[in-house]
Amino acid sequence: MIKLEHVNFGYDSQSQQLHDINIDFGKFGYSIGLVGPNGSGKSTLLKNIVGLEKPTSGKIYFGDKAIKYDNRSLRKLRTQLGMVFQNSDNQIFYPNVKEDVAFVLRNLKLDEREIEKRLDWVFKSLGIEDLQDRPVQYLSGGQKKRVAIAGVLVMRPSWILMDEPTAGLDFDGKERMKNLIKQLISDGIQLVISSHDMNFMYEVCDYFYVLSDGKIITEGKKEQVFEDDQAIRQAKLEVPYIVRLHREIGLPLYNDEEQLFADQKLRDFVSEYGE
Amino acid sequence: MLVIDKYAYENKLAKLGAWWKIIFFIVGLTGAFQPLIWLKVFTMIVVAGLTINITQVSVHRYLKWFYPILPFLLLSVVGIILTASSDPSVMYWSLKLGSIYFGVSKVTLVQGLVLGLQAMTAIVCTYFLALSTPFQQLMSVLLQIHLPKLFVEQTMLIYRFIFIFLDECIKIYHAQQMRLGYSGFKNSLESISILLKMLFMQVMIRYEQLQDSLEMKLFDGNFNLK
Repeated sequence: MIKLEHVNFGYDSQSQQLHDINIDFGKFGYSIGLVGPNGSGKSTLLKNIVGLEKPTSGKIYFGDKAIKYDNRSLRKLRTQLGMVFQNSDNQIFYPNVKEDVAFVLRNLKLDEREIEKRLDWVFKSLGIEDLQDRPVQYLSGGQKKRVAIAGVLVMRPSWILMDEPTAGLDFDGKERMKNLIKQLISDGIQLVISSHDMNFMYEVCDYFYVLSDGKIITEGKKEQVFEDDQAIRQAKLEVPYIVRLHREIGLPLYNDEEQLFADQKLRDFVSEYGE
Repeated sequence: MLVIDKYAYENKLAKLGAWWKIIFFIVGLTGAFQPLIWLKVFTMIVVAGLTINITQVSVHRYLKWFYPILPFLLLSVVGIILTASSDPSVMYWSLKLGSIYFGVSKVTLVQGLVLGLQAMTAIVCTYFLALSTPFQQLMSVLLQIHLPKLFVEQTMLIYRFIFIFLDECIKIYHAQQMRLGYSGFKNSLESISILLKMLFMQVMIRYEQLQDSLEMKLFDGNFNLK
């Protein structure tokens, strides 16, 4: 469980990036979305949760204990709570994929046999066995993202926070990321994903928090939150196209594209008028 | 992307053990520094030919890689060949300035040319090693010969971040070019200064992001290498 109580944060006394944030991530499904425009405080909020920044006031709980900011407590927290940053280049230090993913395991002082076992597991589960001996500088943006996720997943954390996982990805990259997130969810990992890519977020998240100017202006399950027109407009967000199809032509509100394209009514409509 | 690095990963000998290539490199260097001139020339031709063959690089491109080095080499050779003496008979050609003769002496001419040839052969051998050996293999050699850990870690990080730095530099340079930043001498100077300033700022931003990332990966002060 991750819980934030009256969290405020500012980089200096003049400006405040987060205002009275109250969140209980543990109550809802396996995938929580933080949505909001650029500069709304999404990344700052994630950094506060993992202890990279310390709230100016308020408390953050992981499990039932408030986060402590001494090195030992933070180290323990980060073995259970991983974070994938927006820019993968800043998360990959080694020139070779395998060494980079092993970095955190060596910091955990695991023995070489266990390290090899975990590396095999993570490369297989993310389907990137072919990348493990590749020099990092020759990976594509999508491949770098998957390597960055491997570097976190290999710790076997119970929670992973992802900051803008689709930033800079092409269509194929986004599809792969979508499938990867669905796989992580089915493996029982709790995710908090921040992004302003609404179509992507609609398909991968169950519950949403909408941020604007450092405040949470609305929250709810995905079928509820997009009904709040005022909040969506205030946050300058795009309404996902599945929601628009539901609103504007009365299709049922589907969870994802797969369900949408299986709709017989839609298929009949397209075959009748598509010609 | 550094082209030389790409060749290192894709050449015909990329998978061959690093030690074989290092032994060949040392043999080449021995050929360069031994006294026989014909053997120096022979070594240079053989190593250059082998490098071109294994990397499949065009001769033109291979020669282009020597352009940045040649001015330094030529200046050094000229510096050795030109000398001053009070006796003009030891010189092939001289110019009298006051009571001193400046020119090319019989001894320094040979010395300069031999040194130039020696340096060229050594550079050709170094290019062979750089173009045939992936960085990962060089790292394993550095570890095997027990160089200080700090040195190996620094080497690894510098190599990794050269690519990120260059990438950033190229992006800013292209953005400036597209807005005619390099039209005219004054403009170019101004653009270069902005590029340097931007790069410095980017380095600082990257540094902060890198710190966050290291903290999240439980960094304890060491980049442990296997």
